[in-house]
Amino acid sequence: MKLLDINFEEFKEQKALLQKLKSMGMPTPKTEHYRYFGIKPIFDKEYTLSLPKTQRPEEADYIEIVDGSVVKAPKSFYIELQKNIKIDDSHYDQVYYLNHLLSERVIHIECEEDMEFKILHKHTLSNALVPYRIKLSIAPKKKVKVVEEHLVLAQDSLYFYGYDIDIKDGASLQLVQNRVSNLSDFALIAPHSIRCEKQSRFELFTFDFGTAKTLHNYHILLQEEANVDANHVIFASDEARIGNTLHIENRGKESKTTQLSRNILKDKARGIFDGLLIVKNPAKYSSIYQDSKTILLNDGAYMISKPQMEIYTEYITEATHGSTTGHIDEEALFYLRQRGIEESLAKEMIVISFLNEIFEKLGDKEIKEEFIKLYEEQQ
Amino acid sequence: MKIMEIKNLHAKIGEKEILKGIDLDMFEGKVHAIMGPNGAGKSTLSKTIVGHPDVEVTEGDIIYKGKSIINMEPEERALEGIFMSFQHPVEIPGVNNAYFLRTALNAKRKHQGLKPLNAAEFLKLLKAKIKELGMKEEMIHRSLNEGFSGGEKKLNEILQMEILEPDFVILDEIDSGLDIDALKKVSEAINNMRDGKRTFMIITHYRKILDYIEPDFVHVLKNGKVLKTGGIEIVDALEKEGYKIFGDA
Ligand SMILES: Nc1ncnc2c1ncn2[C@@H]1O[C@H](COP(=O)(O)OP(=O)(O)OP(=O)(O)O)[C@@H](O)[C@H]1O
Ligand SMILES: [Mg+2]
Repeated sequence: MKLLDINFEEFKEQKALLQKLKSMGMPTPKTEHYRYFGIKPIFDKEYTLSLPKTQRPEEADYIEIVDGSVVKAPKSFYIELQKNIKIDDSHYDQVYYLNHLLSERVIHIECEEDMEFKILHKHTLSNALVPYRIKLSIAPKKKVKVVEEHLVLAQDSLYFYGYDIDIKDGASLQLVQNRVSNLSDFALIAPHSIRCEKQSRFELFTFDFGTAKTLHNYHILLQEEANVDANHVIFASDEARIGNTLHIENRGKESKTTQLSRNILKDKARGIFDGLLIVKNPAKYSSIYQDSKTILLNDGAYMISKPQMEIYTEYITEATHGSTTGHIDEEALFYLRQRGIEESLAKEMIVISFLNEIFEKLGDKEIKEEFIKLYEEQQ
Repeated sequence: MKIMEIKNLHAKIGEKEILKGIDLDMFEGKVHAIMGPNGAGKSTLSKTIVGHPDVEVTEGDIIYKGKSIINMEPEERALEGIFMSFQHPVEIPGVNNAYFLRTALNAKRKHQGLKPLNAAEFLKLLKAKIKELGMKEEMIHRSLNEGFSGGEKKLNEILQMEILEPDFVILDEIDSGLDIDALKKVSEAINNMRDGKRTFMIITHYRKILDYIEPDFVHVLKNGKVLKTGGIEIVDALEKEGYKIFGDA
């Protein structure tokens, strides 16, 4: 089947979702957040729709999701497959609704305690369309850290997945999304919706390394005194198209958004950063900060960077944004070489230094080392 | 013994010829001061010696330790012992100063067939040098030159010189922007490194540093050529009359 041929009659019980999708229409190359992604060839392909199976997970100290089915999970975890969850009614991405429509049951993980865990996604089916979704609820005042990794073994496939996250009053979530894919025929579209309640905190770190077609579309809402710190690293090569689009809405007063995007592009890769920060009228004394920087390692690589702000209040504490794209700083490179450091290592030092701010903020050595390894493999 | 011989050197940056036939011999163990008006080509000469990619040599040659170096990569020249302190050191955010210095030193040690220093061994060496120079210790843990004051950047160049122990040292306006105490420290550091073998090429606009360092030769560069070579008496004449006394190239 082709995505565009889906018979929506089959889903007529899901009235609200269908209506949303109908009013927004399927994404086309003209849809703002898909404009640079090359959605048409992906949507035009023939796929076999493969819906996740329900099964009893094996016990493990992490969660493993294979093609949308939870196959491993810690025993103590409260995970259920839930129908008819409350969804975001103002997401800008129609695939969010499509994804929900196709994913009747949502994997629901409830975090009632302080906890840290890992989610491993395995994508193994070729020529398949695989939709699934995860709902994550963080109870008030709890601190949770989730690290997710993706292992891609599928070719010519399209996976839809994404989170519906609810961070309750005073709670905090650190979500580290580590996505590596070296299969150029694999596509992932991931619409996420995150609600940050009063005084909650959301830290997002995304690392996209590789050659695949990956697009993450985040809709983030901030209530009073909520705080989001979003950090994105893209290291794309070959003919990859990797992007992050975001709408972050500061809805409550004294809410705060900080966003860093660091991109390194090689070969004919295309990177997309399309971040819209919105401050609604009630969000007085909020602050928003956004900074996107890109290094192109060669001509032919291409970055689309669109940092944007919309502010609907007169009382704003800070609103700063900036975007730069360029090649490696030749003067810096020469400085290192003059000290006897060979050119390739000097380049590597500059590239790593460019990402250091994010690596250091996260304080995770493994991801930094993984990056260095990948970078060196490509030289 | 000549350590460097510059012969009829012509060089351009972009389309503009800046060095117009430089002839200059520099000797092992000696201090060569280079003076000249703004825009004379002093920094361009330094950049040509270290192989800056902006500079294109169109004629002539640079012989260092008996070999032509004009086709060598900048890092090879550095490993052969040529060091330049930059007139404007670059800031490289995210590259830790100590890590950078250790990488540079270990590249050199590798070139010399020595085994690399580990972090602890290196830190010990570094801390001793820092103290001698009167630098703040926190500076070694900061990003390379990032947010350093003008004077701190210059001290950091001297620190690199001390750690790397080069054979041929170019100091491009090391004295500009230094306070009185820092100038003394830097001059002392340079004097301590004068061991009868190491050669210095000191570019300056001011007499003060030359009073501390006492050069063996003074060369006047103007309009891309060396107009005059002599001793410290040249500086006296310049102080009185300015560069016009040497006419135009
Ligand atoms: N990248 C460049 N592009 C174009 N012109 C340049 C460049 N670098 C230097 N020049 C020109 O070359 C000439 C010599 O410059 P250089 O920096 O070598 O002078 P200098 O003797 O070091 O002067 P100062 O005493 O002011 O440092 C100047 O006219 C300068 O404008
Ligand atoms: Mg100069």
